[in-house]
Amino acid sequence: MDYSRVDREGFLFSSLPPSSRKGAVLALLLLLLLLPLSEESKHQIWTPGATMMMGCVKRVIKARIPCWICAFIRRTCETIIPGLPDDLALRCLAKISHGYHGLLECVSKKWKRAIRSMDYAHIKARERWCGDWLFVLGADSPALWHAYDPDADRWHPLPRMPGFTDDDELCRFSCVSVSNKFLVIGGCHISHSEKRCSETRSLMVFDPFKKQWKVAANMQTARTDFACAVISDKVYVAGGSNSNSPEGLATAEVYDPDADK
Amino acid sequence: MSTESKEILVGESSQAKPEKKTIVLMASDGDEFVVDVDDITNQSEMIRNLISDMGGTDGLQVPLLNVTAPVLAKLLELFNVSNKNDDDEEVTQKVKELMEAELNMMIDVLGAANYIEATSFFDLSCKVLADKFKGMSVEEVREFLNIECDFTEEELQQIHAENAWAFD
Repeated sequence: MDYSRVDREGFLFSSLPPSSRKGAVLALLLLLLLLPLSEESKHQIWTPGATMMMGCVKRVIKARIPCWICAFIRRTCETIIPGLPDDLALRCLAKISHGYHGLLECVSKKWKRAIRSMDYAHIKARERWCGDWLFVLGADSPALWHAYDPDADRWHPLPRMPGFTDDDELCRFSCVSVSNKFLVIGGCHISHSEKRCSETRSLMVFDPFKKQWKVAANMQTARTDFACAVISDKVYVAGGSNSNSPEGLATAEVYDPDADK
Repeated sequence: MSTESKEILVGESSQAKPEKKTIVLMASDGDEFVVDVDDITNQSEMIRNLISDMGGTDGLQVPLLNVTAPVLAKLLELFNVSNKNDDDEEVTQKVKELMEAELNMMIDVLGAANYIEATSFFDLSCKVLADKFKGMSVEEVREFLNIECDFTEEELQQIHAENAWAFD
Protein backbone atom coordinates (compact mmCIF):
# COMPACT_ATOMS: atom_id res chain seq x y z
CA MET A 1 0.00 0.00 0.00
CA ASP A 2 2.80 2.34 0.89
CA TYR A 3 4.44 1.71 -2.42
CA SER A 4 1.33 2.51 -4.41
CA ARG A 5 0.89 5.67 -2.37
CA VAL A 6 4.37 6.79 -3.29
CA ASP A 7 3.67 5.78 -6.86
CA ARG A 8 0.56 7.93 -7.01
CA GLU A 9 2.22 10.85 -5.36
CA GLY A 10 5.13 10.55 -7.74
CA PHE A 11 2.82 10.47 -10.70
CA LEU A 12 0.84 13.42 -9.50
CA PHE A 13 3.78 15.61 -8.78
CA SER A 14 5.78 14.74 -11.85
CA SER A 15 2.84 15.33 -14.15
CA LEU A 16 2.04 18.72 -12.73
CA PRO A 17 3.52 22.05 -13.66
CA PRO A 18 5.23 23.62 -10.64
CA SER A 19 2.54 26.28 -10.54
CA SER A 20 -0.07 23.71 -9.52
CA ARG A 21 1.69 22.41 -6.45
CA LYS A 22 -0.85 23.92 -4.13
CA GLY A 23 -3.49 21.99 -6.02
CA ALA A 24 -1.40 18.84 -5.83
CA VAL A 25 -1.33 19.05 -2.05
CA LEU A 26 -5.12 19.26 -2.10
CA ALA A 27 -5.31 16.21 -4.33
CA LEU A 28 -2.95 14.34 -2.03
CA LEU A 29 -5.24 14.98 0.91
CA LEU A 30 -8.09 13.62 -1.21
CA LEU A 31 -6.08 10.50 -2.04
CA LEU A 32 -5.08 9.96 1.56
CA LEU A 33 -8.75 10.06 2.45
CA LEU A 34 -9.46 7.49 -0.24
CA LEU A 35 -6.75 5.05 0.80
CA PRO A 36 -7.89 4.13 4.32
CA LEU A 37 -11.38 3.58 2.94
CA SER A 38 -10.31 0.94 0.46
CA GLU A 39 -8.04 -0.71 3.02
CA GLU A 40 -10.89 -1.09 5.47
CA SER A 41 -13.30 -2.58 2.97
CA LYS A 42 -10.66 -5.10 1.91
CA HIS A 43 -10.51 -6.53 5.45
CA GLN A 44 -14.23 -6.59 5.91
CA ILE A 45 -15.16 -8.49 2.75
CA TRP A 46 -12.49 -11.15 2.73
CA THR A 47 -13.51 -13.43 -0.13
CA PRO A 48 -11.37 -14.16 -3.21
CA GLY A 49 -14.03 -12.71 -5.49
CA ALA A 50 -14.28 -9.50 -3.56
CA THR A 51 -10.50 -9.19 -3.42
CA MET A 52 -10.31 -9.59 -7.16
CA MET A 53 -13.00 -6.98 -7.63
CA MET A 54 -11.21 -4.65 -5.23
CA GLY A 55 -8.07 -5.18 -7.29
CA CYS A 56 -9.89 -4.21 -10.47
CA VAL A 57 -11.46 -1.18 -8.83
CA LYS A 58 -8.08 -0.13 -7.53
CA ARG A 59 -6.48 -0.48 -10.93
CA VAL A 60 -9.24 1.64 -12.44
CA ILE A 61 -8.90 4.22 -9.65
CA LYS A 62 -5.16 4.25 -10.11
CA ALA A 63 -5.44 4.78 -13.84
CA ARG A 64 -8.36 7.21 -13.97
CA ILE A 65 -8.44 9.31 -10.83
CA PRO A 66 -5.08 11.00 -11.22
CA CYS A 67 -6.00 11.97 -14.79
CA TRP A 68 -9.18 13.79 -13.95
CA ILE A 69 -7.82 15.17 -10.71
CA CYS A 70 -4.90 16.59 -12.63
CA ALA A 71 -7.20 18.07 -15.26
CA PHE A 72 -9.38 19.56 -12.54
CA ILE A 73 -6.38 20.99 -10.71
CA ARG A 74 -4.96 22.46 -13.91
CA ARG A 75 -8.24 24.22 -14.62
CA THR A 76 -8.83 25.64 -11.16
CA CYS A 77 -5.31 26.38 -9.99
CA GLU A 78 -3.80 27.78 -13.17
CA THR A 79 -1.91 30.96 -12.43
CA ILE A 80 -1.89 34.14 -14.45
CA ILE A 81 1.86 33.99 -14.96
CA PRO A 82 3.15 30.44 -14.37
CA GLY A 83 5.49 30.38 -11.38
CA LEU A 84 4.27 33.67 -9.91
CA PRO A 85 1.56 34.03 -7.26
CA ASP A 86 -1.50 35.74 -8.75
CA ASP A 87 -1.33 38.82 -6.52
CA LEU A 88 2.19 39.54 -7.77
CA ALA A 89 1.21 38.82 -11.36
CA LEU A 90 -1.65 41.32 -11.02
CA ARG A 91 0.71 43.97 -9.70
CA CYS A 92 2.90 43.27 -12.69
CA LEU A 93 0.05 43.52 -15.19
CA ALA A 94 -1.25 46.67 -13.49
CA LYS A 95 1.79 48.46 -14.88
CA ILE A 96 0.42 48.04 -18.37
CA SER A 97 -1.68 50.94 -19.67
CA HIS A 98 -5.29 50.64 -20.81
CA GLY A 99 -4.51 50.60 -24.52
CA TYR A 100 -3.04 47.12 -24.18
CA HIS A 101 -5.87 45.63 -22.16
CA GLY A 102 -7.82 44.39 -25.17
CA LEU A 103 -4.73 42.54 -26.29
CA LEU A 104 -4.02 41.02 -22.89
CA GLU A 105 -7.62 39.90 -22.46
CA CYS A 106 -7.20 37.64 -25.47
CA VAL A 107 -4.38 35.61 -23.90
CA SER A 108 -6.60 33.27 -21.88
CA LYS A 109 -9.78 33.21 -19.82
CA LYS A 110 -7.75 33.63 -16.68
CA TRP A 111 -6.13 36.78 -18.08
CA LYS A 112 -9.46 38.19 -19.20
CA ARG A 113 -10.91 37.66 -15.72
CA ALA A 114 -7.81 39.18 -14.16
CA ILE A 115 -7.82 42.34 -16.32
CA ARG A 116 -11.53 42.86 -15.71
CA SER A 117 -11.38 42.06 -11.99
CA MET A 118 -11.94 44.55 -9.20
CA ASP A 119 -8.58 43.53 -7.73
CA TYR A 120 -6.92 44.82 -10.86
CA ALA A 121 -8.86 48.09 -10.67
CA HIS A 122 -7.94 48.44 -6.99
CA ILE A 123 -4.24 47.94 -7.61
CA LYS A 124 -4.33 50.50 -10.42
CA ALA A 125 -6.24 52.94 -8.23
CA ARG A 126 -3.99 52.39 -5.22
CA GLU A 127 -0.81 52.90 -7.20
CA ARG A 128 -2.42 55.69 -9.22
CA TRP A 129 -1.40 54.00 -12.46
CA CYS A 130 -4.25 55.50 -14.39
CA GLY A 131 -2.33 56.37 -17.51
CA ASP A 132 -3.29 59.20 -19.83
CA TRP A 133 -6.62 59.05 -21.54
CA LEU A 134 -7.93 61.08 -24.42
CA PHE A 135 -11.69 60.77 -24.86
CA VAL A 136 -13.27 61.28 -28.23
CA LEU A 137 -16.89 61.00 -29.30
CA GLY A 138 -16.91 60.04 -32.99
CA ALA A 139 -19.51 61.08 -35.54
CA ASP A 140 -19.90 57.56 -36.92
CA SER A 141 -20.91 56.15 -33.54
CA PRO A 142 -22.39 59.20 -31.79
CA ALA A 143 -23.07 57.51 -28.44
CA LEU A 144 -19.86 55.53 -28.14
CA TRP A 145 -16.78 57.18 -26.72
CA HIS A 146 -13.35 56.08 -27.75
CA ALA A 147 -10.24 56.42 -25.68
CA TYR A 148 -6.71 56.98 -26.86
CA ASP A 149 -3.74 55.70 -24.88
CA PRO A 150 -0.64 57.74 -25.78
CA ASP A 151 1.61 55.22 -24.06
CA ALA A 152 0.39 52.38 -26.26
CA ASP A 153 -0.44 54.63 -29.23
CA ARG A 154 -3.75 52.81 -29.55
CA TRP A 155 -7.45 53.55 -29.60
CA HIS A 156 -10.11 51.47 -27.93
CA PRO A 157 -13.84 51.91 -27.40
CA LEU A 158 -15.32 52.66 -23.99
CA PRO A 159 -18.35 50.80 -22.73
CA ARG A 160 -21.62 52.36 -23.85
CA MET A 161 -22.98 55.21 -21.74
CA PRO A 162 -25.85 54.13 -19.49
CA GLY A 163 -29.26 54.67 -21.13
CA PHE A 164 -27.87 54.93 -24.66
CA THR A 165 -28.38 52.59 -27.60
CA ASP A 166 -26.78 52.50 -31.05
CA ASP A 167 -29.44 54.85 -32.38
CA ASP A 168 -29.01 57.45 -29.67
CA GLU A 169 -26.92 60.53 -29.87
CA LEU A 170 -25.74 63.08 -27.34
CA CYS A 171 -25.01 66.60 -28.43
CA ARG A 172 -24.57 70.10 -27.02
CA PHE A 173 -23.23 68.66 -23.79
CA SER A 174 -20.09 69.55 -21.83
CA CYS A 175 -17.39 67.30 -20.55
CA VAL A 176 -14.55 67.71 -18.08
CA SER A 177 -12.07 65.54 -16.31
CA VAL A 178 -11.72 65.89 -12.56
CA SER A 179 -9.99 63.81 -9.87
CA ASN A 180 -9.23 60.90 -12.19
CA LYS A 181 -12.78 60.74 -13.49
CA PHE A 182 -14.32 61.78 -16.78
CA LEU A 183 -17.64 63.63 -16.57
CA VAL A 184 -20.23 64.06 -19.31
CA ILE A 185 -22.76 66.69 -18.30
CA GLY A 186 -26.17 67.72 -19.61
CA GLY A 187 -26.77 68.27 -23.30
CA CYS A 188 -29.42 66.95 -25.61
CA HIS A 189 -30.20 63.24 -25.79
CA ILE A 190 -31.45 62.46 -29.31
CA SER A 191 -33.14 59.14 -29.87
CA HIS A 192 -33.34 58.49 -33.62
CA SER A 193 -35.47 55.38 -33.24
CA GLU A 194 -38.12 57.18 -31.18
CA LYS A 195 -37.66 60.46 -33.07
CA ARG A 196 -37.32 62.26 -29.78
CA CYS A 197 -34.93 64.88 -28.46
CA SER A 198 -34.79 65.59 -24.75
CA GLU A 199 -32.66 68.07 -22.88
CA THR A 200 -31.09 66.36 -19.95
CA ARG A 201 -30.02 67.22 -16.43
CA SER A 202 -27.95 64.07 -16.20
CA LEU A 203 -24.34 63.70 -15.19
CA MET A 204 -22.46 60.59 -16.26
CA VAL A 205 -19.14 59.70 -14.74
CA PHE A 206 -16.58 57.35 -16.27
CA ASP A 207 -14.12 55.70 -13.90
CA PRO A 208 -10.98 54.71 -15.84
CA PHE A 209 -9.91 52.24 -13.15
CA LYS A 210 -13.13 50.25 -13.13
CA LYS A 211 -13.77 51.08 -16.80
CA GLN A 212 -17.39 51.70 -15.90
CA TRP A 213 -19.92 54.46 -16.33
CA LYS A 214 -21.97 55.61 -13.41
CA VAL A 215 -24.97 57.89 -13.35
CA ALA A 216 -24.26 60.59 -10.76
CA ALA A 217 -26.41 63.28 -9.16
CA ASN A 218 -28.45 65.30 -11.67
CA MET A 219 -28.12 69.02 -12.19
CA GLN A 220 -30.98 71.18 -10.92
CA THR A 221 -31.85 72.32 -14.42
CA ALA A 222 -31.46 70.83 -17.86
CA ARG A 223 -28.81 72.67 -19.85
CA THR A 224 -27.48 72.66 -23.37
CA ASP A 225 -24.59 74.68 -24.80
CA PHE A 226 -23.37 75.80 -21.41
CA ALA A 227 -20.02 76.76 -19.95
CA CYS A 228 -18.24 74.29 -17.76
CA ALA A 229 -14.97 74.40 -15.85
CA VAL A 230 -13.09 72.76 -13.00
CA ILE A 231 -11.85 74.95 -10.18
CA SER A 232 -10.08 73.31 -7.20
CA ASP A 233 -11.62 69.87 -7.84
CA LYS A 234 -15.17 71.17 -8.15
CA VAL A 235 -17.11 71.40 -11.37
CA TYR A 236 -18.87 74.68 -12.21
CA VAL A 237 -21.52 74.84 -14.89
CA ALA A 238 -23.05 78.16 -15.95
CA GLY A 239 -25.44 79.59 -18.48
CA GLY A 240 -26.58 77.62 -21.47
CA SER A 241 -30.19 77.26 -22.44
CA ASN A 242 -33.13 74.87 -22.42
CA SER A 243 -36.58 74.82 -23.97
CA ASN A 244 -38.07 76.64 -20.95
CA SER A 245 -35.67 79.50 -21.29
CA PRO A 246 -34.59 79.61 -24.92
CA GLU A 247 -33.17 83.08 -24.44
CA GLY A 248 -30.59 81.63 -22.04
CA LEU A 249 -30.15 80.64 -18.41
CA ALA A 250 -28.68 83.14 -15.99
CA THR A 251 -27.89 80.55 -13.30
CA ALA A 252 -24.84 78.56 -12.33
CA GLU A 253 -24.37 75.34 -10.36
CA VAL A 254 -21.48 73.62 -8.71
CA TYR A 255 -20.82 69.86 -8.43
CA ASP A 256 -18.51 68.21 -5.93
CA PRO A 257 -17.30 64.86 -7.32
CA ASP A 258 -16.18 63.56 -3.93
CA ALA A 259 -19.57 64.13 -2.30
CA ASP A 260 -21.53 63.46 -5.53
CA LYS A 261 -23.64 66.59 -4.92
CA MET B 1 21.45 20.63 5.41
CA SER B 2 24.30 21.23 3.04
CA THR B 3 27.66 21.98 4.60
CA GLU B 4 28.75 23.99 1.62
CA SER B 5 28.97 27.68 2.38
CA LYS B 6 29.13 30.31 -0.30
CA GLU B 7 30.34 33.75 0.36
CA ILE B 8 29.13 36.63 -1.64
CA LEU B 9 30.14 40.06 -0.59
CA VAL B 10 27.60 42.50 -1.81
CA GLY B 11 29.14 45.81 -2.76
CA GLU B 12 32.81 46.52 -3.23
CA SER B 13 32.97 48.73 -0.16
CA SER B 14 32.80 45.63 2.03
CA GLN B 15 36.16 44.47 0.71
CA ALA B 16 37.82 47.81 1.36
CA LYS B 17 36.56 47.97 4.95
CA PRO B 18 36.51 44.44 6.31
CA GLU B 19 35.23 45.64 9.69
CA LYS B 20 31.88 46.38 8.10
CA LYS B 21 29.01 44.47 9.62
CA THR B 22 27.67 41.45 7.82
CA ILE B 23 24.76 39.09 8.31
CA VAL B 24 24.12 35.59 7.02
CA LEU B 25 21.21 34.77 4.76
CA MET B 26 20.25 31.11 4.61
CA ALA B 27 18.59 29.77 1.49
CA SER B 28 15.92 27.07 1.76
CA ASP B 29 18.46 24.33 1.00
CA GLY B 30 20.76 25.50 3.81
CA ASP B 31 23.35 27.35 1.77
CA GLU B 32 24.66 30.40 3.55
CA PHE B 33 25.29 33.77 2.00
CA VAL B 34 27.27 36.42 3.85
CA VAL B 35 26.07 39.88 2.91
CA ASP B 36 26.93 43.40 3.91
CA VAL B 37 24.32 44.83 6.27
CA ASP B 38 24.12 48.24 4.61
CA ASP B 39 23.78 46.76 1.16
CA ILE B 40 20.98 44.38 2.06
CA THR B 41 19.03 46.80 4.25
CA ASN B 42 19.27 49.26 1.42
CA GLN B 43 17.09 46.89 -0.60
CA SER B 44 15.09 44.71 1.74
CA GLU B 45 12.54 46.20 4.07
CA MET B 46 11.98 42.83 5.74
CA ILE B 47 15.63 42.52 6.80
CA ARG B 48 15.77 46.17 7.80
CA ASN B 49 12.81 45.62 10.15
CA LEU B 50 14.24 42.35 11.38
CA ILE B 51 17.53 43.98 12.35
CA SER B 52 15.81 46.82 14.16
CA ASP B 53 13.56 44.32 15.97
CA MET B 54 16.51 42.17 17.00
CA GLY B 55 18.38 45.26 18.15
CA GLY B 56 21.58 44.46 16.28
CA THR B 57 23.31 42.35 13.69
CA ASP B 58 25.63 40.25 15.86
CA GLY B 59 25.67 36.72 14.48
CA LEU B 60 22.33 37.26 12.86
CA GLN B 61 21.22 34.42 10.59
CA VAL B 62 18.15 34.96 8.47
CA PRO B 63 16.57 31.78 7.11
CA LEU B 64 14.71 32.46 3.86
CA LEU B 65 12.49 29.41 3.59
CA ASN B 66 10.93 30.35 0.27
CA VAL B 67 14.15 31.09 -1.59
CA THR B 68 16.50 28.49 -3.06
CA ALA B 69 20.24 29.04 -3.28
CA PRO B 70 20.48 29.71 -7.04
CA VAL B 71 17.64 32.24 -6.82
CA LEU B 72 19.15 33.97 -3.80
CA ALA B 73 22.54 34.11 -5.51
CA LYS B 74 20.97 35.71 -8.57
CA LEU B 75 18.98 38.15 -6.44
CA LEU B 76 22.08 39.25 -4.51
CA GLU B 77 23.99 39.62 -7.75
CA LEU B 78 21.28 41.95 -9.05
CA PHE B 79 21.20 43.87 -5.74
CA ASN B 80 24.91 44.30 -6.15
CA VAL B 81 24.45 45.87 -9.58
CA SER B 82 21.65 48.04 -8.22
CA ASN B 83 23.72 49.26 -5.26
CA LYS B 84 26.69 50.13 -7.43
CA ASN B 85 24.66 52.26 -9.81
CA ASP B 86 22.68 55.28 -8.82
CA ASP B 87 20.32 55.07 -11.76
CA ASP B 88 18.24 52.01 -12.56
CA GLU B 89 19.46 51.66 -16.11
CA GLU B 90 22.13 49.07 -15.49
CA VAL B 91 20.01 46.84 -13.26
CA THR B 92 17.05 47.12 -15.65
CA GLN B 93 19.33 45.90 -18.41
CA LYS B 94 20.53 42.98 -16.26
CA VAL B 95 16.98 41.97 -15.35
CA LYS B 96 16.04 42.15 -19.01
CA GLU B 97 18.95 39.91 -19.94
CA LEU B 98 17.94 37.43 -17.25
CA MET B 99 14.36 37.44 -18.50
CA GLU B 100 15.44 36.68 -22.06
CA ALA B 101 17.83 33.94 -20.94
CA GLU B 102 15.95 32.24 -18.11
CA LEU B 103 12.37 33.34 -17.68
CA ASN B 104 11.66 30.90 -14.85
CA MET B 105 14.66 32.11 -12.88
CA MET B 106 13.55 35.71 -13.43
CA ILE B 107 10.07 34.89 -12.13
CA ASP B 108 11.53 33.12 -9.10
CA VAL B 109 13.73 36.15 -8.43
CA LEU B 110 10.64 38.33 -8.66
CA GLY B 111 8.88 36.16 -6.07
CA ALA B 112 11.93 36.22 -3.80
CA ALA B 113 12.24 40.00 -4.08
CA ASN B 114 8.64 40.31 -2.97
CA TYR B 115 9.26 37.85 -0.13
CA ILE B 116 12.08 39.90 1.37
CA GLU B 117 10.18 43.09 0.58
CA ALA B 118 12.70 44.57 -1.80
CA THR B 119 10.01 46.92 -3.04
CA SER B 120 11.89 49.09 -5.48
CA PHE B 121 13.67 46.15 -7.07
CA PHE B 122 10.40 44.25 -7.30
CA ASP B 123 8.68 47.18 -9.00
CA LEU B 124 11.54 47.58 -11.41
CA SER B 125 11.45 43.89 -12.36
CA CYS B 126 7.67 43.99 -12.73
CA LYS B 127 8.06 46.90 -15.09
CA VAL B 128 10.58 44.98 -17.17
CA LEU B 129 8.19 42.04 -17.47
CA ALA B 130 5.19 44.28 -18.17
CA ASP B 131 7.12 46.20 -20.83
CA LYS B 132 7.98 42.91 -22.49
CA PHE B 133 4.28 42.15 -23.01
CA LYS B 134 3.69 45.53 -24.63
CA GLY B 135 5.71 44.73 -27.69
CA MET B 136 4.14 41.32 -28.19
CA SER B 137 1.16 39.91 -30.01
CA VAL B 138 -1.35 37.73 -28.17
CA GLU B 139 0.20 34.57 -29.63
CA GLU B 140 3.67 35.69 -28.59
CA VAL B 141 2.55 36.32 -25.01
CA ARG B 142 1.01 32.85 -24.87
CA GLU B 143 4.13 31.26 -26.26
CA PHE B 144 6.44 33.31 -24.05
CA LEU B 145 4.69 32.26 -20.84
CA ASN B 146 3.64 28.83 -22.07
CA ILE B 147 -0.07 29.57 -21.57
CA GLU B 148 -2.76 27.56 -23.31
CA CYS B 149 -5.47 29.47 -25.14
CA ASP B 150 -8.75 28.26 -23.63
CA PHE B 151 -11.04 30.50 -25.68
CA THR B 152 -13.27 29.19 -28.43
CA GLU B 153 -13.16 30.95 -31.80
CA GLU B 154 -16.46 32.76 -31.07
CA GLU B 155 -15.31 33.98 -27.67
CA LEU B 156 -12.14 35.38 -29.22
CA GLN B 157 -14.11 37.14 -31.92
CA GLN B 158 -16.37 38.67 -29.29
CA ILE B 159 -13.42 40.11 -27.37
CA HIS B 160 -11.96 41.38 -30.65
CA ALA B 161 -15.28 43.08 -31.40
CA GLU B 162 -15.40 44.68 -27.96
CA ASN B 163 -11.91 46.06 -28.42
CA ALA B 164 -12.10 46.52 -32.17
CA TRP B 165 -9.88 49.56 -32.40
CA ALA B 166 -7.15 48.10 -30.28
CA PHE B 167 -6.23 45.58 -32.97
CA ASP B 168 -5.94 47.97 -35.91
